[in-house]
Amino acid sequence: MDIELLLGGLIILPFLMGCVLLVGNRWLHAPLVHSLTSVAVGCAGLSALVLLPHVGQEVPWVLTWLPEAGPMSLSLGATGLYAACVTTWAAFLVLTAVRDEGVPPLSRAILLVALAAANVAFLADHFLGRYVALEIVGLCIALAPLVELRGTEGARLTRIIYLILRIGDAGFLSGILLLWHVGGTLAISPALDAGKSMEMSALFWTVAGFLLAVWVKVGAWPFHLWLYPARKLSLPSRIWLYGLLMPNLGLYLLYRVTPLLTVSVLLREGAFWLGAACTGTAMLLAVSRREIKASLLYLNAAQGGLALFVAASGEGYVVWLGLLLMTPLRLLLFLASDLATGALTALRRRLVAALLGLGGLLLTAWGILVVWWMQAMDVPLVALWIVEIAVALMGIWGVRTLVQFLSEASVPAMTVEPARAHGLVSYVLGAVLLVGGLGFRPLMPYLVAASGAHLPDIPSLLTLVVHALSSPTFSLVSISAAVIYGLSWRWRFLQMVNGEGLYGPENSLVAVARAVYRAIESNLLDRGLVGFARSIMTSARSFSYIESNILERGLLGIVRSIMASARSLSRIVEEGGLEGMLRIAIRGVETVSGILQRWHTGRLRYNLVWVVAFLVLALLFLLRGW
Amino acid sequence: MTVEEFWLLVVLGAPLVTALLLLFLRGRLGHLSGWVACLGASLPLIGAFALLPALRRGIVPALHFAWIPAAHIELGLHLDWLAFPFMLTEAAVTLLAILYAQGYHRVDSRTPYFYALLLIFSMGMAGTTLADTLFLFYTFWELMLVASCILILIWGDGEQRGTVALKYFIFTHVGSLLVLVSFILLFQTAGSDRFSALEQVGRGLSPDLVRTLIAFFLVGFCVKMAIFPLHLWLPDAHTVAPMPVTIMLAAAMLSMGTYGILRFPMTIFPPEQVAYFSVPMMVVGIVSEIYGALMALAEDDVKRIIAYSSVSQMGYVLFGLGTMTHNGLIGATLHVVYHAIVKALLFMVIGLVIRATGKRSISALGGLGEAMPLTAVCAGIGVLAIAGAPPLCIFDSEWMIFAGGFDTEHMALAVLAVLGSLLTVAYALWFMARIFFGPRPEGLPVNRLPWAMVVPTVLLTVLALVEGLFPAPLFAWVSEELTLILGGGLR
Repeated sequence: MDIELLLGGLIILPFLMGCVLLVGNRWLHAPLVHSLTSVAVGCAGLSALVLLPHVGQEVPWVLTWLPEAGPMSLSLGATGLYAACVTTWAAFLVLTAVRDEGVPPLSRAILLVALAAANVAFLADHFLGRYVALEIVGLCIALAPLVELRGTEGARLTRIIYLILRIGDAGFLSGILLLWHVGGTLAISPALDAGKSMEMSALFWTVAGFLLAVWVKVGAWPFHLWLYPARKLSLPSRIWLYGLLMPNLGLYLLYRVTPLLTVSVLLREGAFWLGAACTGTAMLLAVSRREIKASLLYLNAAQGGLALFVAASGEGYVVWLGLLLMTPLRLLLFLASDLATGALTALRRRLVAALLGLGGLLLTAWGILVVWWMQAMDVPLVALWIVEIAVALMGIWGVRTLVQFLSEASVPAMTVEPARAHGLVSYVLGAVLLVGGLGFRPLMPYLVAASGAHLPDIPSLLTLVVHALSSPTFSLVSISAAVIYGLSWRWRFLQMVNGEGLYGPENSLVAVARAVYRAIESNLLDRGLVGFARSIMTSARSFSYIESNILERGLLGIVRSIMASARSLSRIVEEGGLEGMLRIAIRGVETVSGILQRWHTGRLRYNLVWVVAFLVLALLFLLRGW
Repeated sequence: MTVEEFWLLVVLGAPLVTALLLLFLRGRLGHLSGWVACLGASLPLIGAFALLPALRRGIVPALHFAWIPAAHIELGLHLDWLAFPFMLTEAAVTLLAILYAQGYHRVDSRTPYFYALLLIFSMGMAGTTLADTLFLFYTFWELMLVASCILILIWGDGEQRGTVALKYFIFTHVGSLLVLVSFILLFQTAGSDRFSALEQVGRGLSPDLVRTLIAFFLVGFCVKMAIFPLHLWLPDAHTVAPMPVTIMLAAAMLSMGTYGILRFPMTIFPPEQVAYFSVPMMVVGIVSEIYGALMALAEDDVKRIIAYSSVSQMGYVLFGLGTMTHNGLIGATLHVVYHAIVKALLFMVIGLVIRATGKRSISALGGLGEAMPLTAVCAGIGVLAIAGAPPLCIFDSEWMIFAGGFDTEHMALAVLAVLGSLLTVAYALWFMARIFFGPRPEGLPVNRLPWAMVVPTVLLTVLALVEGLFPAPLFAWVSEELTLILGGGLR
């Protein structure tokens, strides 16, 4: 099929449909809007699929927008096309899962425009094109709360989100312009090649700019604040626009700039540590949060950190693979978490718990695979341990979530019963991921052959399991977690026993329990473990505290202090300082003029004094000259 | 007389003739005076486009008369690629401002004078850009000051208008005097007041004198550009002036400072001497960019917010000029043009809001989006444009300015300029959110708006979008100026 037609389906069709919805939003009914959106996104997804065999072919579309920036074009590179394909299909699945929620048609228009812009960003072969596309996606994301929530809150959220996203764009822009300065071109591959020969200071600024952009887009700490408002939005905006689209674009950007990270040892080391620290912190926060949607936010951030850790090793294709694999996985977790809050029957609850558990397990498996790959690289050992701990925490998160949702008491209050399609899409996606996970190794060669990606060797499932079991860090964290859970069960049991004061045949059991309890009390190892676990949890909670109090309040304080300083600056400089000085100067001139004027035109004696003084001065001058 | 000479005279003469006509027929024209003024203002715009083919063919339309032969003083006009973007901007802004005034200005017996002064103000700006001699340049430079000052003095808002007009006059006149001192020194050395003669003289002067002259020029023109800390006249003048005058002040007159810097220090003197001022210009530009944005955040009066935004935006321009690079200079000139479009748009939006509600305090406004959807859309596009969001026009010029910054050795300054632009985003969004979203204060009226005010606003909104999407023609015109400045080495 014609490439131009397919690209039209992938980019122009969603954009045009978005424009149609934008213009006709007052006249179109919500079900029709939903159907039109689904059809446009479905066509885009099909176009992406059909485009896959055309990888590497030339795109005839060339556009010169800013003449100095050179011609912009798209490229059908495998990595970009696969990323676009996965992201577009994720959008389609989300739209299939959701029923018409009565959201404004403008919300769907935003989604479609964002999809078109995102596909341009994935395929753009020119930094300017990619920047503009990312800016449009950012604008769409920021506008979503305004359209869906309206009023003061919507406007406030839009402002905050757009401002935070623009921080990342400022970094991206700096990086691009530095590369342009060095390479003289904005075509991505030549510019990145030229960037490798940059001076150290310029390289530092460039990489810092790109990392800032990635950091903001993947929603890593502390820039995840832009993701918070997503919880108030409709399902497609929440899951796809916020949860998947922007983080995917961030990850893809990271994949593209990976070659620059490895040029300098210093930058590489920094990226390793930054990635490890982000993964570890985010996972601690994810484990400490009981609310599933909040913990998913941190899980997303942890994936971003992990990707940065991988990118520092120079394995760009692993970052790209992570994007491909994590997109459906994150989609599953988001969909399941939504199902969980509305699950009515016990059976459904168990199914949802299984889906969440499966998600956690697959995340952990991916983490173990990454660690296994990274072991072969020149990675700082302590940073690798931190990542291993974070991966183990992913497993713990999965188990804890499974247990939490299996337990009837901890199920949150039912809100709205989800659509039947929501459940169906989630179960099918779960099944596909399970099969894909089990068949990962045999499937990988096909992906590698189709995309031309250079991936490290794929180990067997057994090798990974053996690696996980034999890794001291994994074992330590897992055993600690098991012991902590075990102890907590035992304590709960003993509290119940002591509190209820059982009699009769149970006395013997009580005695045994008390003996065990005393043994535990006197067991320093157990106490130490408990203390250690508590300290971890406390530190995690303190991170939460930092998160919800210090960081947010700090940001608020910064904003307030900027406003206050601006106002006081205005008072001091505008009203007091410069104008005040000016006023004083004018008054001074006026006073002196007044005095001089009085002396000149006032009473006769002043005039005479003035004349006499001048005569004396003239006389002195003449005498001296003489 | 050639066709080019005819159009050159039309550009300058049409506003004058129309102004005289308005003064002469003042009693008989009545309501028609605005439309007559529109006609008079449209001729220079037509003239600008009529002269474009000649410029493209490499012809520089020019006209010279000997005026005081004994003193070698001539009256000379010419239009080159450096003057063209500024002249075009000025002509377009004047036409739109006069069109807007049809709805804004209440007709009374003094109306013909109002339009006549607007046209004389416009002629001052056109003459400044077309002048080919120092004498004429300075005459028109002062003419635009006098005309705008009278407009503020007579038709300004509030009791303070006399004080504000005086302050405006003193500030800008002090700047003009510095320019005048430089002119006299150059004239004495060259023995002629033609620009072409100055270029030869500029390269033969002692370095110390050249630096002094450049410093005088920069300070003098920075007053007109309202660069911090020489901006103090601007917030008051913009706030007090009637809206059409504010539009012309903000969108067109500020650009005359940029034109002055490009025309004199950057054209006359050797590039290595001008480069001495590169870093100070970049630093002052960044300070102005950040300071103006902070002040815009602190203000409560909607007109003052946008006025301070001009201080910030002119900071971008000065930064771009200070880079003295190909991208930076193109970006700075483009920014002047795009800033004119967007600033005129934002002031028109404010005029609509004030006309509809009668309020100017941002804290007394809110929730107007539903009652004024078209104005909200125009404001939204204006706000996004000023925030540098693609594909709107200011993004293009900011891109070039920042690229120019990174083309210098001072990357940290470029990074600072990029980060400073976040404050622009902050005040722009805050402005939009406070006026058009949130709850509408009780009892806030929304009156009907005259079409004469709405149409130019919509036109400028479309222009902001179209210029953003199709910037190539303007890029081509602006890049031609590089052959004329800094020795032509940046082309």
